[in-house]
Amino acid sequence: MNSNWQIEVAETPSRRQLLIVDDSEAERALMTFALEEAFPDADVRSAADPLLAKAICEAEGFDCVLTDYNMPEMNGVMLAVELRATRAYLPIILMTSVGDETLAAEALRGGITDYLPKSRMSAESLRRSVDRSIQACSQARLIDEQREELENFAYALAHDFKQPIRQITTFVELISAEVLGEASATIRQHLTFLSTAASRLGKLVDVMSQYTLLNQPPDLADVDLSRVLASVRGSLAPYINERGAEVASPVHAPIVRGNETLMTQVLQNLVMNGLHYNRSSVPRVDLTAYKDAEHWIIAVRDNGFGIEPEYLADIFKPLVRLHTASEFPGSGLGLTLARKAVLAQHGDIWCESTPGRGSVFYVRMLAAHDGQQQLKTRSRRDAPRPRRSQLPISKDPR
Amino acid sequence: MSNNLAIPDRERIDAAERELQAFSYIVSHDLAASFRQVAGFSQLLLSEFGDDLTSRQQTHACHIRTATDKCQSMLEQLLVLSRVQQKVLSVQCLDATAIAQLAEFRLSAEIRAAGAEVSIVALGEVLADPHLLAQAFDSLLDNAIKFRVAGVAPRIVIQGTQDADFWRLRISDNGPGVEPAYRDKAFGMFQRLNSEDAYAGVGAGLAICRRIARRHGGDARFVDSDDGACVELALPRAPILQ
Repeated sequence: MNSNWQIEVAETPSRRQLLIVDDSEAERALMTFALEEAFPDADVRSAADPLLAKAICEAEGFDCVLTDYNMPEMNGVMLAVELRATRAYLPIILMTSVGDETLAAEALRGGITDYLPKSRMSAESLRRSVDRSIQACSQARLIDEQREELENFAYALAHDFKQPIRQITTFVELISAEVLGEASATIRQHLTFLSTAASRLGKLVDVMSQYTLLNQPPDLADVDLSRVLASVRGSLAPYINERGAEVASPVHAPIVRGNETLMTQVLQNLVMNGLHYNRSSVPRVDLTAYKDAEHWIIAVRDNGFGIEPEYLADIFKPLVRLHTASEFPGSGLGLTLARKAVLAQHGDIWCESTPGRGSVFYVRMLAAHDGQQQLKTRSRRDAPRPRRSQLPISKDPR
Repeated sequence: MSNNLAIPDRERIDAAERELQAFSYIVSHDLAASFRQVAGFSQLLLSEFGDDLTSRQQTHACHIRTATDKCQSMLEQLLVLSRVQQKVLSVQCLDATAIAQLAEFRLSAEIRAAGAEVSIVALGEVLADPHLLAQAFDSLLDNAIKFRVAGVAPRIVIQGTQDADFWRLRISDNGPGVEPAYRDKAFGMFQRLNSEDAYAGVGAGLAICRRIARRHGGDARFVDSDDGACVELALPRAPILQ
């Protein structure tokens, strides 16, 4: 064991390992020359054959690969796709000779980090492109790692905590049910605090479950919002009763392209939000839907206290809680989750609000394109667009 | 010229960070507060009104306490992980041997209790954040002591090698080892490869070590060893801070 290790100074970047892939010997020579001028310390190597380049890249780590487009056997974009398979964050620069913008745009989608027309190749342009590509790839890696981190985090909460928290809530319910009747006022109070805390734990785990659900792209299908609204109404029924609230929704709700679980989550969050931040004697939420070209727009209108214009832009950001937790307890993530869920279904969500009078949340979803939907749509063609046309509203029978 | 670069913009990174922070916040505040209340009131019930409760009800209250304790330790470890993720790194040239000796000193009670023998071969110097490296050594040493074969005194060796790119610090033991198929899984958060009763802890140590190594641009993994398990902490000689 050698204890007298040489310490490299951190500021000095290690020698860059660069690989040129081009079937023309002359081009390889020119590029090698320019790259060595751009990075005097770099280790510049070249390969004439994309298959050889692929083999070298699999065996060794390069900091950046610069490849020609037109090569026999495999073009530069195909090579990039192959290289990405084993090295997800390898910076790859496409050297185009045609200077074709379409080709380059396609290349960027195909996994190329950057492209550089050979006609503009210089030590300076190469240096800039290589540096930026390396930076871009390390940032992409950072983002992916953070996302993975976050997903693991939420996963742990949703799954690892789920079981013990269920145990807690179950035993709290058991003990409350048994003790409450005959207990002293103090014990009753303790049990109430215990139940409140336990049910809050359950809610937090729900939020996390919703969040983890959003980490995979959802399966999209035709979703009948009547079913969704019935289920939302069902799960919010205790809360609606407790608050003496009214929730009105269209008799014939539209069918949209989306995911039923996510739509339920979204509308439940929005209705809940509307009733929650609400001091009206009868808190009320009205759901209406209107057609806007290929889309349905679902409006969720409440008579709550509204949102000041300066906060409107922020309400979908995580943890923007406009009120203190004790006044209106909430996780502060409901709207963030709703927005995430809407975007995951290729929809859009926004809000308009009049402070003191209430807010309207709009969710725009692609209309379903099955036969039944076509029929429905035609029958509503008379509805003026884009002005809102209210669908028949049924008062909550409750 | 290079304007079309597929750069993930700063805004996206910031959004990811904000999200992470938002969730950490919920964990640290809302969940922790709720657990504290559940623990507190169930304890109160037991201590103040235990006599008024039937033995069945007392058992319920005990179950609540046990589940809450478990949640609280898991939460604590999640917060450690989150702090490791968010800490601003202060990378210094460190005597890794001294850091390992410090871990040995901090865990001396556990080492004595297990009858373990720890040898630290001169590790040389590394570029790392002193707090994070110390934390990594603590959990690796703690793991090596904890995962032992019954009746066999743990023998633990901490040593280092280097190559062109990395310093490789290795902690090897004579414990039961980890099958290659489970090696990657063991680094996941709350991944326990054994039944809950066999070994204490919530299964967060390796996940935290890997996070520490990755923040320095390195990695942590199991490497093959003749006997027991060997965890390698690879730290780049020119750290890419993350």
